[in-house]
Amino acid sequence: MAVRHVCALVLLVAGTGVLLVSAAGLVALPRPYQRLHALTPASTVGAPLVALALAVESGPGRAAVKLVLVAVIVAFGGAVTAMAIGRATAQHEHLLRRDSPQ
Amino acid sequence: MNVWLVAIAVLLTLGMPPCVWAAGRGSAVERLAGLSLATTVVTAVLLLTAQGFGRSSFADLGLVLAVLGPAGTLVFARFLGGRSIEAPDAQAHGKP
Amino acid sequence: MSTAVAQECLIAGELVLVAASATAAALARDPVRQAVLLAVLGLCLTVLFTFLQAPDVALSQLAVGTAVTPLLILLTVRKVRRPTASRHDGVERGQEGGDES
Repeated sequence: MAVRHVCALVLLVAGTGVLLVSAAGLVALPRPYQRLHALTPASTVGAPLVALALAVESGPGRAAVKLVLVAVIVAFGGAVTAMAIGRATAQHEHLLRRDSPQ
Repeated sequence: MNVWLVAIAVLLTLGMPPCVWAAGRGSAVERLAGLSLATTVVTAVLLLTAQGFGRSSFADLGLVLAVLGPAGTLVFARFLGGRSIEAPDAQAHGKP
Repeated sequence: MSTAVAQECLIAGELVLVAASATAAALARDPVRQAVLLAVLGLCLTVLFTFLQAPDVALSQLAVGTAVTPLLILLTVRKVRRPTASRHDGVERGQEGGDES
């Protein structure tokens, strides 16, 4: 029980740290494309680490399966979202034709 | 006061204000970065709330947001990128 | 510190966040930029309702504030601005072939 709690704490601190570093990067980076670099680690590393910490804390069962599912959905959705925002920014700055294929 | 509530407090006080600030600055496309990061942070906060308050049913909110958040951001990216519905700044300031 | 006191502190902090995002949404003049801030405001309200032990209200606020309201605002803005935009950059829009949506 203690080992599991320590593992959950380590994962929680790591995930929260990644999320905070991403938030700081969102403020510190000046250009829109650089801000996309701050966006992706939060959704692919930070939030799944927090969800994994909660799954480790709750132990095996349906709750852990649900949390791992949330982690996978957030990771994939964050990657797709970052690509879509980058594409919209490129179209907005006329680097890409508006009717270019997806 | 357990460690999960401390994590929620840290995420809300240090993680969300940069998102709100980034979502309130620049053109409409540049604000999408703040919205996306806010969605990720709020998903983590909702999952932590389920554990911190001992209500396992709150985890469903995190699941719903994990599905709906990227959908909402994709709607924004599709509309803002596919067609220029945002008025250019010169015209927006020039018109009464 | 007990859980109830911690909950009060979290509610207070979340109220400050809701007030800040709502003020920012009210101060933005362009409707498209307001839509982005309204989505952020919906997220903050979802967290507030969750802290107030109202998960059903939070669930409906999540669906409405994150997906439906920005979609309605964007559709309305596109419908309203189309004649103006086609008059301003009609040459470019004409070369690209008009309405494909």
